[in-house]
Amino acid sequence: MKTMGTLITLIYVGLAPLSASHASEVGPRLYNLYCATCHGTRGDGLGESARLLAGPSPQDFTRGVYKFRSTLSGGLPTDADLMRTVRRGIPGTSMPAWAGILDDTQVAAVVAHIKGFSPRFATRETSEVIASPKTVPEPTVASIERGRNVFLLMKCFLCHGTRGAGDGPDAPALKDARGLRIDPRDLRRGEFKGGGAARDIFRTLATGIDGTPMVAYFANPEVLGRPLVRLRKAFSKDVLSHRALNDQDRRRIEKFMADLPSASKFDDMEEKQQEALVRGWQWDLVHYIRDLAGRGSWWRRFLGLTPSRPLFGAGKEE
Amino acid sequence: MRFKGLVLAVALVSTDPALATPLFALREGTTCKACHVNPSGGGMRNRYGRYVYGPTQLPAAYPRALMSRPLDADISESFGFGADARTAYIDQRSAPKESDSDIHSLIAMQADLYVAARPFHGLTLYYDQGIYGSFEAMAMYEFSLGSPAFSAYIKVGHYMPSYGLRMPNHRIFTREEIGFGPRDKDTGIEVGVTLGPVLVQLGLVNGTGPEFKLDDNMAKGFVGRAEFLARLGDFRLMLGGSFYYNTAGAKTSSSGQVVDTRSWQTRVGAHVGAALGRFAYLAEGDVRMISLGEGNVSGVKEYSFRSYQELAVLLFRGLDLTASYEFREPDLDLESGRAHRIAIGFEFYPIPFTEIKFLYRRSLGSGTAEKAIDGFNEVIAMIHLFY
Repeated sequence: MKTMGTLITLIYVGLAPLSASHASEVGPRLYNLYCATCHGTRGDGLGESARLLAGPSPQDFTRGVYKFRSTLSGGLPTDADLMRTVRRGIPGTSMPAWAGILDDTQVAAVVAHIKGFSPRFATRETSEVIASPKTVPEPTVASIERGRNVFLLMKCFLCHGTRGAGDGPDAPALKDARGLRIDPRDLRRGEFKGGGAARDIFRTLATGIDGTPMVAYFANPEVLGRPLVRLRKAFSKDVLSHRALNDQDRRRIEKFMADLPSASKFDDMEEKQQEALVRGWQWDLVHYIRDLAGRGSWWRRFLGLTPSRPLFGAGKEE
Repeated sequence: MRFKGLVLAVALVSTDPALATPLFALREGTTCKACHVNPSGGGMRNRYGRYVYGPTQLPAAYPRALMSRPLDADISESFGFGADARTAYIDQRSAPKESDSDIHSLIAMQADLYVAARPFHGLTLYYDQGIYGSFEAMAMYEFSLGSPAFSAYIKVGHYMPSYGLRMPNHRIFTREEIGFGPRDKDTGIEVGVTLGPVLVQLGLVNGTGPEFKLDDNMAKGFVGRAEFLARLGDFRLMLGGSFYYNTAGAKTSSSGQVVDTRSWQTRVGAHVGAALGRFAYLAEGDVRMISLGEGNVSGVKEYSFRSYQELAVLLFRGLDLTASYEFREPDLDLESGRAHRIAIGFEFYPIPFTEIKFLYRRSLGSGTAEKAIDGFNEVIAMIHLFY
């Protein structure tokens, strides 16, 4: 008991300096407390727990390359982007949601400290923010069906598979920016690293996931809309002949292509109309992806392979 | 009966700072070391265990209203502390009717205070003091073997040797009864090597049994444990094996009676774990050979077998329903003495650093000599606070 008493005294005395922490030290202190064990005290992703955790390696903040942003591919994230990631965590990885544990002021302090690891932030480099959609259209059966066609026409199935299971024909060869093998997301799991709400998925499709093969598909209408209409035959040729697709998919795609406005009609449209048309297809794709996630078969739910969330507090969807 | 009741009570109140939760490691597809300071698991949690996994992944909820202040048990980056306190109500009744050896008591099962210091990267000094005098004291040096996936450690001091699955219940047949109960710490040195998914631990200990004392002979105990952990998509698989070999020889009193049976036995065990989503299965089987060697009851060898199986179902985050089955064959050469036990219960982590556990254990023993101990049915309700 004497030993125990000595230990308690030692701890009590040692704790005293903690209460004297200044506000300016909050970021580094919280970072060292909660983040450094994985991301490392130098932000290089080499924390002592990093190698022990299942899933992707912790982010190396010194590189200044961020996956989840609202900015164009290659750009720096905004503070709001970083705060969103810290608050929500990254589902399907070891990065937990800190929303229930840290308040917004504390999260902001941590983000400020994280930014200090990369010289890119110090250069005041500006990154164009992709505007968040003001409204989210309601999904319908028809929009989900159209989304399936867009999913196939944009060749998402090459990585994610025709069923969205992450088992596409190109999947085994995928590598990230560091040359490490990377698996495409199994969209049926309902775990989206950048967030599972419609706006989140839209943002991910718009910005891509830097450092991975997932490029920005919605950033520019030229990626999807205009070529789809103007080069419809060339656009669909590779897809329709791909052996991964079944006849039903081919028939649906052909019907979808047949219903598209002609190139001349499309060109006659006002730019806003064109954009609205393209934006509609984009939302169709978002609805289809969310529908895939919601379809999780009964056995996946039974086994608990769908995302596990706490009853309240940390990790609740914002 | 009074004596047996006393023995039971002593066994119940013994603390076990080496308690760990292999279930969590299996589910997360990692090793005990991910959350614990000790590479063998149990005891003080490391920074990831305390500040990341403990508050964010384990409990059903994190009520910020109650815990608004950031957690911080570290006095500095190189010095921190932790604690475990378990208090239980145990209602233990002998079958078929109540006797004077029954127990209906609140018991402080564990109260341990941990201190760990890291004077420089790689070196950890660790001390654990329990309320009943049990302690662990060790120094560990960890280093990389050139790749993040390859590492090694050396541990010296007084600690629980690495063997089998360190289930968070020292009274199951595969822990205390084969010599890895709460008091079975030993003094020695252990080397562990992690090679990707494989962990190999080899140790040399005095082999003197539960007492903290100087060894009086040259023979030592050799301990080994190996574990392979595979992550195949959502599926987790753990395969492992352990041995304990002690050639210290029979210790006898001046009258020739055997006084220490722990120091001259061989134990060999295998363990397996599988997890998929909310379901997890853990099992261990151990054979113990006691050799009543030369100078005593010559040539007599006694083989016994014990096993433990557990199925856990994660109902929702923080709440596991558990069911277990235990089997004991005290002497493989004899028909009698077999014992079976089943248990059901739950483990609930409502908020960080708090566990509520309930267990109903029913003895199905058919033994004779051990019936007095095995024949107890019990209910355990426990609150566990940890940090």
